[in-house]
Amino acid sequence: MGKLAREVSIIGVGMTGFGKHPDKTIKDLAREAAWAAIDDSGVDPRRIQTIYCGNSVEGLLSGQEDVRGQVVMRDAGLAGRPVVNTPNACASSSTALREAWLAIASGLYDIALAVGFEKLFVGDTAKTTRALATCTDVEVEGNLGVFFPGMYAMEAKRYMYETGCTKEQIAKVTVKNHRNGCLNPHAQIRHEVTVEQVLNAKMIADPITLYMCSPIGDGGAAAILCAKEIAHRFRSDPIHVAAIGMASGAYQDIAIDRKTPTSTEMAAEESFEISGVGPEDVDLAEIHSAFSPAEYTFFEELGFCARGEAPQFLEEGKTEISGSIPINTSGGLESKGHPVGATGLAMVHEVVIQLRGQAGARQVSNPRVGLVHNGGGLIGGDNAVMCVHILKR
Amino acid sequence: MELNTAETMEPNMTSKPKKIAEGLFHLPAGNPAEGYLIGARCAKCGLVVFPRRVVCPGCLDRESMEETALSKHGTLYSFSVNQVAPDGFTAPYITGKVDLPEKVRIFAVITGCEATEDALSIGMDMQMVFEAVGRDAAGNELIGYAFRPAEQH
Ligand SMILES: [Zn+2]
Repeated sequence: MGKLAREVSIIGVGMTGFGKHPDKTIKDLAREAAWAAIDDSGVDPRRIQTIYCGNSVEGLLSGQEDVRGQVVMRDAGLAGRPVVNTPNACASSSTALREAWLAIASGLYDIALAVGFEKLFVGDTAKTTRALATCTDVEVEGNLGVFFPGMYAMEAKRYMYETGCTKEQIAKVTVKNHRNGCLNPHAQIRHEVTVEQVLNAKMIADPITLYMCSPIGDGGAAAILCAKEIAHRFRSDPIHVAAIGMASGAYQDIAIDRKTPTSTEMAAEESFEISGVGPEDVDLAEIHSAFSPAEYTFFEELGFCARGEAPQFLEEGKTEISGSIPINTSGGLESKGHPVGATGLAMVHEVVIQLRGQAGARQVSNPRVGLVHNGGGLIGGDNAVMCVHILKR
Repeated sequence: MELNTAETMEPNMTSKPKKIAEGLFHLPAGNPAEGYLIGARCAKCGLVVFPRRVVCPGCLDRESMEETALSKHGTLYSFSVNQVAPDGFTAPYITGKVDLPEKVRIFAVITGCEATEDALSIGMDMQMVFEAVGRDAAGNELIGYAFRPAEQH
C-alpha cells in the first residue's frame, strides 16, 4: 500500500430516524441527515468543497436513475460543488465515505460531506423486493430465483453443519440486537424479543425467521470530514479515520478448493494494514447483520475469533454492550433498520458517538477504537462490495 | 471443444416457454437429456468456471479459456427452503448450491422433492435437470437448469 498524504477526521455526524416515512422523499431524508451532520460539526456549510452521495435503488423505485445526488443537494441548498454518486448496493454510503476520505487525504480538499439516503417504502413491497434483487448478477443469479434471505440461509445452514451452531444460538444474536435497539432513539424496531419469540416467528428461510431479517425502511445518514490538521477548529473531539479497507468478492464459487479469502477478509486485512491496528485493539464494532446468522460468520472473518467460536463469544456476554467486544450496539440491521443506501453512514454514526461518549444508555465503557463492517450485493457466493472502516478517538 | 449454443425449444410446449438466460446452457430441441451447463476450462492452469468467461480469473490468460460441458452430478453444499417467493416463483421453493467435480459451485433451484427441510441434506448426491423453474412477467414458463436428488441405486 502507498501512504496517505495526510490524515482525515470526522467532525460531524447526523441521521434521520430509520423507519417508515410516508411523508418524506429522498430529498427530505438526505437534507435532514446532511444538515444534522453540518450542525453537529460546527462547520460553515459554505466551506464544504466536495460531496459524495450514496443511494442504491431509487432509480428503480421512482425513476430518478441518474444525478440523484445532485437532485438531493439542490434541495439541501448545497448546489455548485462537485457531487459524486456512489451507488454500491447496501454499501453505497460507505463507498461515499471512502471517496470523501480519499479526497481529503489527497490534499486536494479540506472539507467534504458524505451522505447516504434510501426510501424503500413505496407502497409496493414486491416492487421494492424486485429493485433490491438487482444487487446481484441479474443475468446469472437474478433469473434463478435469487432471494436474499435464502442466500444467507444457505450460508447459515452450512455454518451450522460445519460448526455445530444451533438455531437457538442464532436467535440469541437477534435477541441481543433488539435489546440494544431499544436503547437507540433512531432505531426502526424498538421492542425486545425472546429466543422463543424469534424461533416461533414466521419462517422465512430456515433457519432465518422474520425477526432475524432486517426490515424494509427509509432513512438518511451523513458525515462531515475534514483534514485532521484543521479538525480542532471545529470540534474538541474529532474522530480519526484510521483506515478504510475495501474489496469486491473474488467470487470464490469459481474455484471452491482454492482458499480464496472472502471480501470481508480482504477488506479487513487492508484496513488493519493501513491503520496499524489489529482485531485485538478494537473496542466495539458495527457488523453487517442484514440477517442475524451473518453476525457470527462476519465476526469470525473479521478476525475477532476462530471459525466456529462466535456463538460462544456471544453466550459469554463478550459481544454485549458491557462485554469485551460489543457488537451492534445500535441494534444492528435487524432492529435499527436497513434503508440500504443510508446503512453504512448510520453504522459510522453509531461508532462516532460511541467514541465521543455520547451514546447514552447504550454507551460502551471508554472505547478508543471502533470498526464498521458494511457489505453490499451478492455475486457468486460473496458480497459484491465490502468496506471495513477503522475509527479512532 | 466447439459447442453449438444456437438452439430451439420443443415446439409443442405450452405457453411459449423461454430460456431463463442466454449463454448459460446448451439444450438441444426435443432432447433435454442431452443438455448441459456451459462452463469454460483454462488450457493453461486448468481452472474451470461457470458461467464461461473470456479471461481466466486464475492466471489472467485471455486466449486460454475453452468452452466445456460441465458435469451433471454433484454434491449439495447447502440449500434453503424459501417460504417467501420473488416474482415468477411460488413459495415454498428451494434454492441450493451444488459442488461439481470440476470444483465449480452452482447456484440453482432444487426440484424433484418436497419443499421441506427433511427432503434434503448437505452432502447428498444431486443430479442436474432442465425444466420450468419460474415464469416471466408475462406468465411465460422459463426453462432453466435445476438440481434434484440423484436417483438411488
Ligand atoms: Zn488459467
